[in-house]
Amino acid sequence: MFLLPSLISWLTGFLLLEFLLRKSPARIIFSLRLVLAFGLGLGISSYLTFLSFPLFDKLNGPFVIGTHGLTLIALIGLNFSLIKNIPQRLRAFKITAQNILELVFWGALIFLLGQYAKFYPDGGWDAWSVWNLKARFLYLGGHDWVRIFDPTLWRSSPHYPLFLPLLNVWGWIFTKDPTTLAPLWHSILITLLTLGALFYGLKNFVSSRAAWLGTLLLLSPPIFPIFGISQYSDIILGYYLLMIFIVLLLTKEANEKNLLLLGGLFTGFLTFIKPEGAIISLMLIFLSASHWMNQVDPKSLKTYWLRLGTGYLLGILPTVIFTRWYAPANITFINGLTSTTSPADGERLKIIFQFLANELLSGHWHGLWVVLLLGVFLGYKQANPGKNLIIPIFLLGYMLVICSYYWFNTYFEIRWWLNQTLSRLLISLLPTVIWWVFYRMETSVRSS
Amino acid sequence: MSQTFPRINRQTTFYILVLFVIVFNATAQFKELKKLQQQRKLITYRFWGDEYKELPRFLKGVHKIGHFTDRDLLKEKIAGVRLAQAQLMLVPTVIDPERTDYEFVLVECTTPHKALAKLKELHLKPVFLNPKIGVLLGKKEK
Repeated sequence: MFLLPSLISWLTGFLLLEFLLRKSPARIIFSLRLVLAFGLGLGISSYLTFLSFPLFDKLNGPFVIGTHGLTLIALIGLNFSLIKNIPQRLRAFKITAQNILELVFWGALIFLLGQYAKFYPDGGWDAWSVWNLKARFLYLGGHDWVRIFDPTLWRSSPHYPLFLPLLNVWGWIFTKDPTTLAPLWHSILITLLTLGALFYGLKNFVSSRAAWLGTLLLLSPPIFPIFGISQYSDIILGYYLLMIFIVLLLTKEANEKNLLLLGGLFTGFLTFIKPEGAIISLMLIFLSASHWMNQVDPKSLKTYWLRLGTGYLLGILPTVIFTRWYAPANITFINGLTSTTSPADGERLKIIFQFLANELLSGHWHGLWVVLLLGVFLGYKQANPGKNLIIPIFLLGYMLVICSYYWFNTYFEIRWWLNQTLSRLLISLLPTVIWWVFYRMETSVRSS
Repeated sequence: MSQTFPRINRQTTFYILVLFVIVFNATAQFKELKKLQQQRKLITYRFWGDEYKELPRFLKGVHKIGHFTDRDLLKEKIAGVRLAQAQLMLVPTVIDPERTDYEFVLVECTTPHKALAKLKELHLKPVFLNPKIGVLLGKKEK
């Protein structure tokens, strides 16, 4: 029963994606479509579950199931010709040795993640003190669900958005019991999807070789599967971030503007996953705008903006409702630039950069960041350097913004804060960095 | 020929490095899993929240309860873990840590004896007692 909500989410996402791309010339391999569809569907499910709270002031299970049902019926109606062609499509599907190898690989991954999950069935500290706590308030609280914003619960960051808790609530509507099964399954699923986005993203754009090596590299240090099954939101942030870049590149390669609607939606989803998602989304919108200014003719620019903007506005709608009517202010903030008792000084800045350098070289990453940095230098000569320039600019800009925030928010003792949060931040960037490094390596120029 | 050689060289170098890291880390992954298996053999997995799962039935309609622990919440990790997992199980009741001026107070001590003594000191009537671990839910005497 716990798999049913995920199946409904995937089907919703798949049918919507097929509808958006029905006339598309974009070359997207089927497996990548599956991964993109899951991301779209999980976002829609989280948002439809959220809708219950402003409308009924509590969770209304039949309403959530009903809206999913209506959405599915509408999408089946819109995709009627696609559904009619399913037998024909199935006949055209060929089982190759590569397909079988991939299936075995995904099976082995489920086994590996299952092994780790066996040791941490209730996830990490933030699972029970933040994300699953919020989910239980949403599920069990009735009209009192708003107690998640009680200042007494400051340890659970009451201002944090609710994407993951709502997804878990969506699972619990079917299991009828807020056990750890739904959060655990979602953490395994999203870890698999992140690996899937990396694998099929690289396979679609560059080569199978890069796909295998990149995915195995991401999976290789124990820190990745451990974070994956921890039931935290950081891995979800990493998953959507990678998919946004994949969608932006697909848009560019196929000139398929409908994909921008999807890109806009994913960028909007980021804002509802974690507070830093809002910063990321603003940076991405700004960077996309500057990027297209030079590359797209003024007529197309308007269409680009309209599609991306529509998707983004739809995607940030729950965040706007949540921030405007529910979320309390962040109480874990002291402006170190104006505070005389906790000033943001040079010493704090020095600690941040030292900590960052130590973290990248730290043993728990098992040399991953070092080899990726080497990859950046080895793939320095690009045939078309402007094509994916948005990624390094984003990564540098984001690290700068994050370091500045660590510096001027002096609420926490800096070493403790970095110790608690920096690895998670890097985990959410890691899939995108690996994708970019391998993409660069495969598209580097032949001349020396 | 001279044009293709440098690219192959750079790519090959990178992929050899990547392969080396993957193989090295695969052994680390294996060791990590083995370590976890051995740890689990020595210490059975325990979710502290299970100790509190009986409590919600005594707290229907109660918004907030107080909390006392004889452990140091800042220094002892276990104290923080227990508090967080107790809060998870008591939803939608909110625990106000280290405050005892509520109708209901959750008293957690290192021994049941200490918990009972604290209950007496706070003039609380026991509502629920877990004799194994020193967890008590007390209610203000009227």
